[in-house]
Amino acid sequence: MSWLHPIRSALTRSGILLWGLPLALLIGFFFFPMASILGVMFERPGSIILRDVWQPLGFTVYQALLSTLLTLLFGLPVAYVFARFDFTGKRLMRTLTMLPFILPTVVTAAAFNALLGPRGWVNLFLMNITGAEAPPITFLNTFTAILVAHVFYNIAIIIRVVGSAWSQLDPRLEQSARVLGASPWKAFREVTLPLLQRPILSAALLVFLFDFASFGVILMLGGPAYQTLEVAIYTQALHYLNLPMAGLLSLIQLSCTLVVMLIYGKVNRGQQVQLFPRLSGEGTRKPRTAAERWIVTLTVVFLFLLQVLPLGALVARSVTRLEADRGQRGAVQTGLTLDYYRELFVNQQQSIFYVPPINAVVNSLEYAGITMVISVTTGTLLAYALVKKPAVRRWLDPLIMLPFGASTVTLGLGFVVAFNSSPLARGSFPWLVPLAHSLIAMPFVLRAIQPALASIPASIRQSAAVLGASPFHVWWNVEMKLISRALLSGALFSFTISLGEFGATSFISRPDNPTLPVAIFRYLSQPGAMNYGQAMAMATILILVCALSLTLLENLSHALVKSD
Amino acid sequence: MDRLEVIDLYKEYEGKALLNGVNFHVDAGETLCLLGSSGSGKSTILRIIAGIETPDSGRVLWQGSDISAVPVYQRNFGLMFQDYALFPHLTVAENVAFGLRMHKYPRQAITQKVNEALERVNMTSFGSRHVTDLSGGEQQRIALARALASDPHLLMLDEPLAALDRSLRVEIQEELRTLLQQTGIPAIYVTHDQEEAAILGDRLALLHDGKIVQCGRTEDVYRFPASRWVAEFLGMTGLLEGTVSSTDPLGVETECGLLHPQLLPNAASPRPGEQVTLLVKPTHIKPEPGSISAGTITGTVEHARFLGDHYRIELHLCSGTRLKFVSSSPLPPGQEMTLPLRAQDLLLLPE
Repeated sequence: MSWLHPIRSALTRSGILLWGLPLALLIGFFFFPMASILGVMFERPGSIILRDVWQPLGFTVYQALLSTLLTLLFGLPVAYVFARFDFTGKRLMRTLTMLPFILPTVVTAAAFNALLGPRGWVNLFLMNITGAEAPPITFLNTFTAILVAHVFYNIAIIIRVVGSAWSQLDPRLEQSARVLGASPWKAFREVTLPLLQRPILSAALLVFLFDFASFGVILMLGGPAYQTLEVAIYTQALHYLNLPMAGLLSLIQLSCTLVVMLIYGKVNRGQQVQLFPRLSGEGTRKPRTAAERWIVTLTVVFLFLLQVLPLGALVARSVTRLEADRGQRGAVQTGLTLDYYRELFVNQQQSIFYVPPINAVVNSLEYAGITMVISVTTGTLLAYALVKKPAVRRWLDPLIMLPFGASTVTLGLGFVVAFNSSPLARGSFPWLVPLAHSLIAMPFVLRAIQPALASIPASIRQSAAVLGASPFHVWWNVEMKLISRALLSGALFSFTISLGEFGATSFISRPDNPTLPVAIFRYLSQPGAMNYGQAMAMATILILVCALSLTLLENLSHALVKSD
Repeated sequence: MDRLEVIDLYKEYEGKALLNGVNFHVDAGETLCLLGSSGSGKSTILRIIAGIETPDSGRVLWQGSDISAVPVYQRNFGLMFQDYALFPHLTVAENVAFGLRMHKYPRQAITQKVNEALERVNMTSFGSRHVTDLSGGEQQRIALARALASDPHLLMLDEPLAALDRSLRVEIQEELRTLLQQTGIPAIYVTHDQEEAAILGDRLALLHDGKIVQCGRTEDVYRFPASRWVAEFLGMTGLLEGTVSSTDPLGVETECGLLHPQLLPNAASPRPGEQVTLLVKPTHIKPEPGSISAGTITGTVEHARFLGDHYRIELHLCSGTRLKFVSSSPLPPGQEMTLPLRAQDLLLLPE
């Protein structure tokens, strides 16, 4: 195409940039650390104990399977209600269900801690009326806590993926089955369920993948008794300093994830059946019968209990004094307080960090900003490279998605192994954290931008050119404007991911320069009401930032749907 | 002289010859309809003229000079895409203004020209609307306004009405015809619909097997289709096979008897024994006094459809083929009839 010539020659000239920058990032900060892990494994193979491999592996698979089943069990009815009924507050509810999904695991842990932990609302309330000395409910450090948190975390995937497929499903299909003599159950079994098979399977695989790689939830809610592969990698590396063992566990973790991802890719391959595109809202209606009203009410109550209550408990706990602080004796003045927020700015002598905790907020925002710039730049470049060269995509796609499959803990371990003795050592190179975050965020950014870029019809570019737009103007006035929303949502995603990232950060952040999640984790593991309160305050700040970015994301995707 | 010439275009597509030496020209102020079945390469020709694609060989001349080296965005040709390709992120007015902005018109001139362009397609009140909120017909008009706004040297329309429903299509055909005549911009109109081509084209160019098989004034093409393919493509019935039995006077032996067809202008005389195709176009059911008879043809009336002010008769010819013709009075189905043929009603088509 002749009009493409200037672009193409520019591409071949800047091709090095187009591919080079993202590839350099991948090679230098993903494949090199992964290779370093392999290297360390063969250095000292003696320190590997097989029993310590089988146990976490078995438990990881077991808890992931169970969590996925539970998430499906609770998520499918909610997906149905969202797909078929209109009710007041539905949009707010839908946004709220998304919130846990983008919340840092640390916050999730803190939220359940605030509700059901030994210092949580429920226990303090029960202790208050019964006069008991010890908290009557043990929720933390139980298997139940893990399962509940996983459902809390991942139910959004089922609601989103299955719910959207369900609402796209033409209700007339089910109606025509009914006209042909099928009972409601039969119509569901014979028509709806088969049509939803693929979205259900793909959502379940995604949930399984997340549960399989669960780290923060297990570490903070499961306690020492429960070890997934991720937690095992963490303890082997940071507590026992057994790097070969951690490396082996990472390798197993990575291979398992890759297998699941391959299956996921197989399930989603091929044309997703476009089931009669119709005007949105055609399939939803207000609940009519008493039974339908009950279903909707129950769903709302369930979601409230599961998701709003823990988060509400957390926020409320951050502004309430309920128990004595360290060094205080006698009756405590209970009531509302902003002390925990105020303390964030104070550099306490006995504080864990020797710097005002607000530094963690500043650090996190700074890292998130850098992450956003790196991952959006490289993600956009990669998206261009992939869209312009679809032939390369087939084999490059999985390569790029590898960082997505590798767990964050593995990445953190890789960074520690690879850069501990190099000029990039974590003591001297502050960009290590945002670089790790960028690798974790880049696949998300790519997934946001690539489809937007690919969906621009060739005729749009061509008609701009025919109307007199030079290649630069086609790029700037048409392409960039058309993908601006995708760019923005990629930016928001990467910002939020960086803000909440815990697994990799716990390996590579410098002790005197913690991020918010790391600080929350440390505060939670310290005794004392003030530390607890500050953890709650910091977690609340994270919730607010995440909620803000989620609202923006939701508005963006609404605007996207509208302009389609 | 605003004249576009296309010379010997060759283009392979996925290993097959799509364009196999295409030649035609468009003169100032005329509309050329490029007609061919889908997949015949019509759009590719437009894209080559626009500069979006390059031919394997061949040249495109504008005002006599080769423009192959001129990049697409400097040609100032208007091209209206089949899917309209409106910019979804811009309003109606911003879409129309896009080309003007790219050609660096001053702001005031842009406002004025956008209004003019919207007026031309009767869409003045739509300026601030989003293009995604428009109906198909409205989008079509905006795409046309956008293509015309910056006064292109040449306007190309790629099946612009294909996405519209029939009644809208007929309405817009008339509007387009008037608009093209008013603006006087030379235009190439691509379609696979021969009726549309007949309404809109000053001249027709028929593309078949990568070549222009016939090019000429619309009436001439309909009166003297150059080949059996052209006649069939234009929807003509009454094709008969036969063998040339004599050359002076020309006689062709068919299943319906001996007929005396007319030769196409400039056609070479066939040799005796040659297989030929005849096109029967009866205009009268009774012999006209004074006309030279070319023979008669018999058939059975299959049905007569009343079409408002005339009847369309479908005849089952003696050869087994079908013949449609127009009559002012109905004929009962099953009736045997013999139609008189004048010399101009019977054409000999080269294979």
